[in-house]
Amino acid sequence: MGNHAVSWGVLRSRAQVIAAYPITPQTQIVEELSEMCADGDLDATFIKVESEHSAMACCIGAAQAGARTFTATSAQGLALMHELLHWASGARLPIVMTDVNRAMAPGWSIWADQLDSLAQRDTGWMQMYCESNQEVFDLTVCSYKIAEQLDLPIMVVYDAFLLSHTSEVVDITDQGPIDDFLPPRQAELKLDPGKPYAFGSLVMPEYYYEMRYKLQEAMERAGGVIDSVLEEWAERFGRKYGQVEGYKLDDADIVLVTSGTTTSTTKYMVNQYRERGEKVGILKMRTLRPFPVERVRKELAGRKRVLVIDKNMSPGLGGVWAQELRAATAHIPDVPPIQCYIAGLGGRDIRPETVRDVIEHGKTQESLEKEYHWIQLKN
Amino acid sequence: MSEKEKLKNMDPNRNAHEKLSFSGISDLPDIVISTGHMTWNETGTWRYMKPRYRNLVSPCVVGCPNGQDVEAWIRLISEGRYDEALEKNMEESPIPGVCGRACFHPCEKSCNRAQFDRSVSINNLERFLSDHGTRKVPKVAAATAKSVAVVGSGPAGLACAYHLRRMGHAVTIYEAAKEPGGVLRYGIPDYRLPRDMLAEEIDVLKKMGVEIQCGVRVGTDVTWKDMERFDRVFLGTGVHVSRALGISGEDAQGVMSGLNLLKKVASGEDVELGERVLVIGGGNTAIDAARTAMRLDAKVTILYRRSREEMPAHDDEVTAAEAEGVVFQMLAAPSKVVTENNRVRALECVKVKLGQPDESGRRRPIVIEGSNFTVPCDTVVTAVGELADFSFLPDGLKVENGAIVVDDSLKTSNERYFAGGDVVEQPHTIVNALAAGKRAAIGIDCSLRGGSFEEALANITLATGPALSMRQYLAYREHKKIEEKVPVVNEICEYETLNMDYFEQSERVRKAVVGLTERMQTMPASAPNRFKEVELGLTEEQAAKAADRCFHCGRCIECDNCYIFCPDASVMPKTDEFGYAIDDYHCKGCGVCVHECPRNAMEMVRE
Amino acid sequence: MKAVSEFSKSKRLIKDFKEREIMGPGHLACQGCGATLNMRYLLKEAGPNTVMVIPACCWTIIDGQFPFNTLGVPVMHTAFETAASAASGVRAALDRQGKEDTNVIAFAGDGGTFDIGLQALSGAAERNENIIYCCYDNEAYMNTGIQRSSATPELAWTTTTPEGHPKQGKKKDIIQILAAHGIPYAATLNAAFPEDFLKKVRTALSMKGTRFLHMISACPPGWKIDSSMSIKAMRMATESKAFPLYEVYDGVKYHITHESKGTPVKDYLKMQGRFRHLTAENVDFIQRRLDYQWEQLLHRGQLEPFNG
Repeated sequence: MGNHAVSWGVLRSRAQVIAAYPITPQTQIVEELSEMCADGDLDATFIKVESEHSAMACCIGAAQAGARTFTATSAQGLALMHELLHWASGARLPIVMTDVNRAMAPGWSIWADQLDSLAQRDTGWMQMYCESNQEVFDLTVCSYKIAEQLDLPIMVVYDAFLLSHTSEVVDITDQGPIDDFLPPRQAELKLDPGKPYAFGSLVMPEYYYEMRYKLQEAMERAGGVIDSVLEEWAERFGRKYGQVEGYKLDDADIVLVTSGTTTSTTKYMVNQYRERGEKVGILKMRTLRPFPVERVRKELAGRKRVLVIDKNMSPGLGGVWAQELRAATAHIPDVPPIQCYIAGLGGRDIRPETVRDVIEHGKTQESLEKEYHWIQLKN
Repeated sequence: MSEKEKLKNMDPNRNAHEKLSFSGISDLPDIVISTGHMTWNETGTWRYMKPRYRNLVSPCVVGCPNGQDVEAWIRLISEGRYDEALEKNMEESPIPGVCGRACFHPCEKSCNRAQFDRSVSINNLERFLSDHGTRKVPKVAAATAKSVAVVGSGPAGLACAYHLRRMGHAVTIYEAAKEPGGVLRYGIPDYRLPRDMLAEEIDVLKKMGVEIQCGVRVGTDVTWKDMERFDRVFLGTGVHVSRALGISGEDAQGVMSGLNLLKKVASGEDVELGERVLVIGGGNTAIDAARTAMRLDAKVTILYRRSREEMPAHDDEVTAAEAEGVVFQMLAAPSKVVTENNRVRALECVKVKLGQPDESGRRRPIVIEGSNFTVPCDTVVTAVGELADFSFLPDGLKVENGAIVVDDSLKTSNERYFAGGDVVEQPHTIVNALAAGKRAAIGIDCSLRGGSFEEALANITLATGPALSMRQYLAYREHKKIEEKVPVVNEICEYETLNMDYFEQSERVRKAVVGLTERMQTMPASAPNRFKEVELGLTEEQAAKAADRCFHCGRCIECDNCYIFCPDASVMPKTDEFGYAIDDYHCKGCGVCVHECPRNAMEMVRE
Repeated sequence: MKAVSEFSKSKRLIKDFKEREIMGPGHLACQGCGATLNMRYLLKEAGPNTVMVIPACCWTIIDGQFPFNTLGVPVMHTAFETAASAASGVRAALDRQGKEDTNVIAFAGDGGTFDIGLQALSGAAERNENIIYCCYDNEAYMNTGIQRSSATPELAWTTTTPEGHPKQGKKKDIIQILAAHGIPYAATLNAAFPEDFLKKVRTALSMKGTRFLHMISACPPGWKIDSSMSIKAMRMATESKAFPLYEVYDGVKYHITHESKGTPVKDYLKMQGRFRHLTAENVDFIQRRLDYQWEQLLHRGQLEPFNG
């Protein structure tokens, strides 16, 4: 199951301090990590806090003191953490967190929907979305390396139940090779009784502006770091990932833009279209932040159609991925109008037929007549 | 390095500050990390008032007519520095042992603690330091080639001689009696003031080079003309003539004065009192005479014309007399000595009642007609006051109202003669005599040096006066300024200005006395130690406790309050000297230190 | 050796007030700030082997602006409600580095403790995290301009409880809340009683687990008193039973460390502008409330702690 893949990823990464609070659908991560700590398989301190807010605060405290930390949450829990997400990035702490995508209440829903994590877009966290449980394991480990190189926090995101509770075969890489890949965290500046430094003091306007520049500058470097870490992972373990990934993309006229498990369903449908000779391909988005601007500009230029399947909805404007893509490609010649399809909210299945309806509808859209389209809406 | 720079570097916990300001993104750290110390921030600029340390004059110091720096030596006692305490005391007086026993201690009346619970046992502590400190012979200044004769060796004479000698003058004391000490030797019984102790204190003067000629009566054994070889003469002869009762039969055998009785006993003469002794009077001499008579196997009754409340004698003394068995017959006045063959047989008395207060503030006794009664007795001792005898004085000295006329510096109408003690108009007490001896010594020194006494006075008067500081005079006459540990403002520290949060009520320490049983056993004339000292000194524990009760009014004693309560860590104890330093660069002037000073040794001042 | 040499020290208010000064001058506290004294005393005892966790509160400002600070120990500034949780994280990380002997101290105001941070504090206390949590209580949100908190005394004026509608209801009994968690040590501290204060800090330092120190903290601007009166005001708070000094071991064993003199609360209230509007009936009511609470305190348990 995806949740177990996370636990193993954290185990292999030798996290030192874990703080978490139960919320469906991420609970199994916490449960398994508790056992791992209790059994001594993982030499870590697990703080069983009373809220997600405190979970993040514990991670911040521990990371500030130099520890490698981990927490996991979903939906409401992530929203509760929001304030501290800013804190973690502002303090430049390489915290790794799993967010199992779940819809926001009300109405109560425990099923998949990306709005919880996308709503944290501006908190200064890197975000990587996963399509399979193998990715979940691999990216969890890679995240530590990426975060610690940049001193930025990172969120590994995947869909509730579709991955979290779905069993797949996952290759759990041995500890030795992973230790070679991921050395222990070396925090240069941390809470150290020998060094009476204050962290996170009041910053007057004379420096705040420059401090924010520094944060953005790190994000600008992040793309390169992510690429090189993923490349190294591929070299060592043969599993290759990118910030964006194409599927039958090279010659595609119609490009479906997806993220997470929607990609797998879409691949099935793309194969069907390809068998009929239609040039349909996929651009799979992995990183929301840093946003791979250059990469998407390059991949989307010269296409006939760009159809974004957004498993989220930002009320008032539509799908978040589509908005990000439109912003990134604005005024870039040759990029066609970016069509946005809202689908799969609150765990509604995105079935092959859903993808088919998107493609068929998209074929009819020459220009951007609507900011977003509802698909298979029950009348 | 300037003080400013030093303060900026005052940072024991970290090395030199890392870069404290940044030009921009090139040298700005990636994270919000603060490594520099806020010490650069001179919060002293927020201030408009500034605390400072300054001492005031403790009320006990001016409560003592002799200006004893009581607070100072109490502090030394509490620190266990008894030798220094005694030395401090002896800056102002040659006879701490005498005062610690026989002074009526007005200082305790002015003690601020009296307004809180009960005053500090200053008198007992003075005796303690004289018992426990080692007497040091004070420093004598280089010889001045001037000489002074001191006539009389009572407290005034001793004090005058002592201080003059310290200033380097040659001093000769003339004493008519066989032994020096005057009233201290012959007027106060041994059980109150042991002679050994007195001798020890007079011995210090001898060691200083004061010449004491006893058994020499000036005007008789040596002439006033002989006195002309001295540059100045001090008259401290005291009062010796007992006031007469003014009733018939007073000349009969068996009537004697209290002073005479005390003097005879003190001289070791045999005194026949008979079985029943009547003492007339209510002052200290009456009590001393009564208690002395008790020790000569007599049954003693004191006859006093007012009530117990009006008795001028010390309450402690009256109580002790009562305990020893002296009978008090109050509200009765003698009217006639009943004699037989010119020998006393009885005293006829009359009962009195009290009317309106007289000029002394005490209620005037009014005779009740027809209330006569007779008390049989063998001896009548009169103790109703003393008078001076000026018949021996050189010609031309102005005398008025039974006292030698003197000016502020105790100079008589003859500029070569000074006078003090009971011979001038002042309260007849040991401490007032001591003060007069000191004042005369200063007056004499000024006149010998041609200095202005008024100017001296302005420099050495303690607060509102009249007490003078010899310590300050000795510095003044050398044109030196005393470097005080804390600057002194010459004002009295009032009770209301103390911070009572820091003081708790406590029992006044009571000194022990020899148990009554033991006293009664040793009292018969046959007992070898019948004049053994009745009062015992304080133990070290008691002394510490008594000293600990002192508020140290207006004096910094390094209690640390200012340091402890400073929210800005801007008060620092000095490591190499007394007191504290205030970090002017950072003190925000909140005033907490001043408010929390228990003893008003700090104040806020405008800058 | 004189038998009484000990007495020479007696004039010093505190016999072992440590000379070491860890908190430095130059900080940004107002004149007469009680919170600053609390920090100063605390650090004197805790020493340099300490990590301080400070949530949003006056001390966020007092410590000074980037790139400066005033404390001689590492400081972690953190979000308002996270003092206890962030400290838990710091503790865990330091323990993993073998620094079990480093003191981890959270230092929060009353808002961050009684109100917004109570949940995290409760969580840490329930887990019995090995931290010392200090609440310096100036009885309102002073840093933001004197708004009421649940630590504001009954009927006090604040900018959100104007004189016409002063604060309703009694001050939250935070020690009871902490005692209910059964933590090893909870105590009230008052900088006007330094000896008692330091003794309690020492007691706390000698223990493990969650230790809670509740420090009254005079605020001249917020209480509307002259800056020179802050020690006096704090002293009166205790002497009038408004802030009794006591400690609780394991949540069950109570020990009063200073017998309040029973100064009429009127005297304490009268000296502060925030109580200026009180009527005689108000004062009488507060007096009865405090008398009752003192009685309540006297009736608290004396049970020996549960021992398996």
